[in-house]
Amino acid sequence: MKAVKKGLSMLAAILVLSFVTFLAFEILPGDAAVTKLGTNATPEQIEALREEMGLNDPFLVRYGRWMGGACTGDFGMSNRYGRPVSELFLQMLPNTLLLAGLSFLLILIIAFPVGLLCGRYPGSIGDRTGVFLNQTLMAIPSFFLGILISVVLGLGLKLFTPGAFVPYDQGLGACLSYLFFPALAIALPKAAMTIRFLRSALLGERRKEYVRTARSKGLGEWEVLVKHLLPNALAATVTFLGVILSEIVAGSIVIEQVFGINGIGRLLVSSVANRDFNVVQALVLYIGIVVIVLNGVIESLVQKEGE
Amino acid sequence: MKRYRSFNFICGGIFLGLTVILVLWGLLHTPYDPTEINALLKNGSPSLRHPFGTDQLGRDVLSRVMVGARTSFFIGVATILIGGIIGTLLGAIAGYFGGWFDTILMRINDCLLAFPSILLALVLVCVFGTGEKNVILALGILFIPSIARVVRSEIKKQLPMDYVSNARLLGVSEGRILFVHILPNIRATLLVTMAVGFNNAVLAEAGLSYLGLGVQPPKASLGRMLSEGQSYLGLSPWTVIFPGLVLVLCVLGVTLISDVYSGNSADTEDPVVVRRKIRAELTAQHPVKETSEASDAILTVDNLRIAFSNDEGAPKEVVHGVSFRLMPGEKLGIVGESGSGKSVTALSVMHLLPENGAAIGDIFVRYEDETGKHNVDMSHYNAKDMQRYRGAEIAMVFQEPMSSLNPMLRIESQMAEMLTHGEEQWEKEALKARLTEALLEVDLTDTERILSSYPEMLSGGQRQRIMIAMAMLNHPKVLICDEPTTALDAETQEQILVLLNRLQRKYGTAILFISHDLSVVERICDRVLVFYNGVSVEEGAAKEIFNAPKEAYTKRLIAAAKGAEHAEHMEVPKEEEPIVRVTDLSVSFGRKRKGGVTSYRTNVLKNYNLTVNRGEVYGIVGRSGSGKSTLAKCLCGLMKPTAGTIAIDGKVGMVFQDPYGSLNPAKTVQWLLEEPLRIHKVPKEEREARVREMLPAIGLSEEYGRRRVTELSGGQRQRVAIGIALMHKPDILVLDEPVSALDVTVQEQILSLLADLHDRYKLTYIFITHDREVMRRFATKTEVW
Repeated sequence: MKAVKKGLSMLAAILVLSFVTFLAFEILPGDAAVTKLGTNATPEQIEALREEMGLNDPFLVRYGRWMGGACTGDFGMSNRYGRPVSELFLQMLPNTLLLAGLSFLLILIIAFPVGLLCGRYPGSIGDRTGVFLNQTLMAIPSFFLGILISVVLGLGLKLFTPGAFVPYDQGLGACLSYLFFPALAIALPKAAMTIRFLRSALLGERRKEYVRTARSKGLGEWEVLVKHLLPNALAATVTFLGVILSEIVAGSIVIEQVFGINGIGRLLVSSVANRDFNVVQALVLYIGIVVIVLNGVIESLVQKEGE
Repeated sequence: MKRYRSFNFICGGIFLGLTVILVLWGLLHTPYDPTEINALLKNGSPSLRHPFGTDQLGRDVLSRVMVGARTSFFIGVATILIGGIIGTLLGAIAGYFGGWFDTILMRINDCLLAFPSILLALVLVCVFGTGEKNVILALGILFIPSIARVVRSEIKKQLPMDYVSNARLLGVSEGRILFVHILPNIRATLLVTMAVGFNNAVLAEAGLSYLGLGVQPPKASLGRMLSEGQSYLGLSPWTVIFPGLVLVLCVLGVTLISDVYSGNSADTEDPVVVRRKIRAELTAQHPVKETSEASDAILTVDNLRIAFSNDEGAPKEVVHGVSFRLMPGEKLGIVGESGSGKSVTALSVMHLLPENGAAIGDIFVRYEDETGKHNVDMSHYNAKDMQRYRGAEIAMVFQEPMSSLNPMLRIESQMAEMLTHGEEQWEKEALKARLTEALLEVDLTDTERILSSYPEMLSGGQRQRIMIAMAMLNHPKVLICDEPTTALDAETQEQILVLLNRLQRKYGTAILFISHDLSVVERICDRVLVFYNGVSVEEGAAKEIFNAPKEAYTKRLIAAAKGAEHAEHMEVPKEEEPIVRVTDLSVSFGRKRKGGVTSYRTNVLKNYNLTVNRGEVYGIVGRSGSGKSTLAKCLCGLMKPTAGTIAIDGKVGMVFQDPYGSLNPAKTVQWLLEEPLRIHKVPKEEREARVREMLPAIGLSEEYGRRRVTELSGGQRQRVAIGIALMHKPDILVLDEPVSALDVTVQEQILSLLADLHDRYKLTYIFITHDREVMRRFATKTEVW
C-alpha cells in the first residue's frame, strides 16, 4: 500500500516536471521552424513548415504529442546532429552512468572509513587535519579540481592523457581507467561533504545517553561506535547520500566538459549553447526522472530502517 | 569570545580578507586594462610587472582576476540578497502562519530542492538567456527554496516554546512576535545558510561561466578564465591556477568563518587532551594526600575531585574531595539537589563522566581471583582497563529509561551485549534462555515480545525493568542507581523500589543509590550521604539523618521537603467576591471535516464549571494530561474553548512551568521586563522606573537587569517570569506548575516569593500542579481532578 502511494506520488512529480519542462521551452523566444530553415526563408515556407511540424496546434495537443512520443522513447530529432534524440541519448548514456557509478563508489570507499575514524577520535590531530582538509576540498569547485588533476596527475605524472577519452564500446577497461580521474574530481568534494555529515552525525549521537549505557556494559570504544552510534547515524547519512547522488549527476555535467567525455552532460551543455531544444527537453526530463526515482527509493529505504 | 580566537576564524578571516582586498583594490584601480590585448606578451610567465603572468592574448592575469573576483563577489552578494530577503519572508510566513500557503510552498520547495542546482540554473539560463543579470536572477531564484526551508523549520521549532505563548499573552502583535521575538533566536542559523548560499552562488556562477553559459566575454569572470586557460595548460598554467586559487580562497574563507557558527569547525577539543589538562590542573591545586589503607569495603572512594572544562580559563571544580566506603551488600544513598555533584560522583566511579569532565582521587574495588582477595585501584585505569569491570563487577542503572536504551537496536541484542562482549562464548539457545530468565526476574512475563521489541514500543516502567535486568545479568558486586525512579510516575516508582530491594536481598549486591528525593532514599537505604555543593556534609544511618539531622543544610533540605504552610499565612478577604466565573466550559481537539463527519476528537474538558473569589489561592491538582494546562490557556485567552463562557473581572497574567522555555533567550532581563509596557507605548523613563521597582520586588538586585536570560539559574529565571507577568499589574495570576521544574530548596524560595507578592499586590492565584504536597501547603482552596 505504502509502495503504491509512493509510486503514485513519484509519477505525479514526473508529470509535473514534464509539463514544466515543456512549458519552459514553449515560452522561449525563437521559432523552431525559423531555426531550421534559417533566416532567409520566406514567410510562406516557414508557415508551411510550422504546419508540417505541428507548431500551430494548441499547446495541450502539442504537449500530449510530446509526452506520447516520450513514452515510446521518441523525442524527435536533434536539429544540430540531424539524428533522433533517443539515439544520441543511448549512445552517450553508458559513459555517464559509468562515470556516476564510479564516482559514487569512490565516495563510499573514501567517506566511510575516514568518517568513522574522525568519529572515533574527535579533536585529535588527525581529526582536526581531516576537518580542515575537508573544508578546503569542499571549497574547490569540481571543474577546477578536474583541471588540477589533469595538470598534476595527467601532464605531470603522466598517469593518463587528458582529453584522450575511450568510449565504453571501444574497450571497457581503457574507458574505466580513464574515467577514474574524472570520477576522482567529482568524488573528492562530495566525499568531503559526506565525511563532514557522517562525522557530525556520529558526534551528535555520542552525546546521547544510550552511549553511556553501552559503555557501562563494558563495550570497547570501537564496538560502541560501530554497533551503537553508526546505526543511529546511518539513517540521516543515507538520506544525505541521496542528495549526493543527484549532485553527482550535476557534477558530471561540468566534469565531462573538463575531461572531454562524450556523455549526457556534454550533450546537454552543447545543446543549450546551440539552442537544440529537443535534446535539452529530453535530457532535463531524463535527469529529473532519475533524481525523482533515486530520492523516492532512498526515502522508502530509510523509512524501512526507521520502523 | 573564544570563537574569534579560533584557528578557523583566523584562517577564514585572512582568506576572505585577501579576496575582499583584491576586489576593493580592483574597484579603484587595476594595474592594466583587463581587456587590453597585447600580442607581444602572449603567455608571459609571472614577473614583477605581471605578478600573475599574462594569458594567451597577452592580457594581464592579475587585472583580469581582480575584475573576475569582483564579478563573483557581486553575483554572490546579489544572489543572497534577492534569495535571502524573499526566502526569509516566504519561510517566515509559511512557518509562522502555516495552513495551505505552507503546504503549497513546501511542496514546490521539495521539488526544487531535489534537483541539482546547476541543472536548474542551466534550464533557467536557457530560458532567460546568458549574461550577468540573468545569472543573478537564476541563482537568486534557486536560493529562495533553501533559505525558505531553513527559516520555516527554525520558526516551527521556536513556536511551541513558552516564550512565544508568553509574548502572545502580553498582547504583543503577531508581526512583532515574529520579527522582534523569534527572528533574533534564529539569527545564527540564518547567517550560516546565507554563507552557504553565497558560496553556492559563487561556485555556480563559475561553473556556468566555465561552460560558456554565464557571464559573457569580454567581461572577465573567474570561471570563464579557467575554461579559456585550460587549452593552454601546458604552456601557461598560471592563467588557470591564479583565478582558481582566488575562487577557492574566497569560498574557503566564507566556509571557515561560517563553520565557527555552525559548530562544524576543526576546533573540536580532544576529550583525551581536555581530561589530561583537567587532571593536571586538579593535581597541581591539590597535592596528593595520603591514602587510607585498603579496607574490607567493596568500593572505596578517597579524595575524589571532579572538574569540568570551562570556556573561560581554569576548569571548574564541582566535587571537592569526597570520600566514602560501600560495604558488601550495603545500600548507601547519596542525596542532594541538582548540581550538588552526586550524579557525577556516581559516573566517575564507572569512568563515565561526560567528555569535558575528569576526576582525580582513588577508587578501589575489592576484587577476587585465584590469588585471593585484593583491592584494585581503578583511578588510574583508562577506558580499556575499565571494560573488564564495567558490567561485570559494577553495573549501572540510569535516570532516563527513555533515552538510555539505543532506539535502533532490539532489546535482545542490547541485553545480550552484556554477556557476549568478553571472551565468553554463548550458544544461541542458552543466551536466549538466560535473557528470558533475567526478564522474568524483574516481573516482565511477555518475554518473547519484549526481546524482539525496539525500546520505543515499551513503556517507561518496562524499560527501567529492562535496564535493571540488564545491569543484574552478570550478578555484579556493586549496582549504581542514578535517580532510577525520578522519571517514572508514583505507582511505577513504587514497583521499581520493591524490585530493587528484592534483587538486592537475593544476590547480596551492594547498591549505591543516588537521588534528590529524600523519601525514596529513606525507604531503600541503610546509610546516607548528604551532598551540598560538591561536598559530603553529613553521613550516617538513614534513620538518624532523617530524624535528627546535625548539619544546617540537611535540616534545611528536610524542612524544604516538608515545607512551610504558606496557605495559613496568606491574607484572604473575608467576604466572597467572585472574580473568575467559568460556565460549562468544553474544549476538544481534533480535525473536524466539513460535511459533519468527524475524523477524531478528544474532549479535554467537558462542561467544566469554576468560580474563584478575589484574593483566593485556588489550587487545581491533577495528573499530566488531565487538561489542567488547557484550562490555564483558556483562562488567559491563549486558546479558544469549543463551548462555554469565561467571565473574568480583571486582568490576567500567567507564569509557565518551564523557566528555561518561557523566557526569550536572545534578550536581557531589562528588555523582557520592559516589553509588556513597550507594546503599550509607555515612555522609556517610566518603563525603566517600573523595572527598577520590580527587580527588588522579585528578589533580584538591579544589576540583574543587564544580564541575559541564559546567564540565570532556574530559580532566577522563574523570578523574572513572575516579574514579567506582574508588569502590567494583573489582578489574577494563573500559575501553571510554577515550581515543578525546580529543586526543593529553590521551590520553597519561589513559593515564599509568591506568597509575599500575593499579599503585597492583592493578587488572586489560580495554581495548577500535579504535586499534592505543594498544593496542600500553598492553596487556600483545592480542587482535585
